[in-house]
Amino acid sequence: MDPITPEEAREQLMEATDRAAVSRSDAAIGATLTGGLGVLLAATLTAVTLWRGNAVGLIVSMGVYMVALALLMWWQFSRYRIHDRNWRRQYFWGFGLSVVLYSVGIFWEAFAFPGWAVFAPYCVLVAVPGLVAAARMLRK
Amino acid sequence: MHAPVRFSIVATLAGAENAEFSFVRDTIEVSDSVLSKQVSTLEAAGYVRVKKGYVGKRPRTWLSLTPSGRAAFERHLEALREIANS
Repeated sequence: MDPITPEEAREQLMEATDRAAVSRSDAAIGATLTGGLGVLLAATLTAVTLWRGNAVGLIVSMGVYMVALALLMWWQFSRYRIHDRNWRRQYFWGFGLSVVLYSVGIFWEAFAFPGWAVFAPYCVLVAVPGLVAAARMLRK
Repeated sequence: MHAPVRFSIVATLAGAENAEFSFVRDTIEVSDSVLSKQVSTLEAAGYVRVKKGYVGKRPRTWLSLTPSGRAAFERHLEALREIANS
């Protein structure tokens, strides 16, 4: 291999920097998925709580959740072309914390429902980790 | 990795966890056959991992850098920096 000149080396370094930036091309897709899952969990917790004691309402709520989840995942899989290196970590933190808050909310409303004045803000809180992770994905 | 196309492939994958074959092809502006050949060379060297799958009925090929590919790319960049600063 011929030795390269300092100018050629600088050009390759610039190319490496430019090429690395394309990994952010699909950041909006990851952010939409992660934020969308957070909102979906929050909406599902709200719906399940609204339909407390009503089996049909509960089944409909969970059915809507499953369909929306499947559509969101399908949309993501069909659109994604490149995953940023930090995407997976942010996704798991954001979605994982929303799932934990959702699970706590399910038990809370089932065994000690505190009333909507307290529980409605909690339902909103369930979406926050997913939305924060989404914002971080877009901001980076 | 010293060849321009191979350098472009690895540089594109360096910032990513993985990337779809067609995305890399369009980004570095080469044909399917050129990319396929260069990816095979990088895969044989242990620098790139190739994963095939489907999204629905559509076949997809995903490319990613192996840890040794990432390390080799870092060493390559370090060598370039030394030359650039000489």
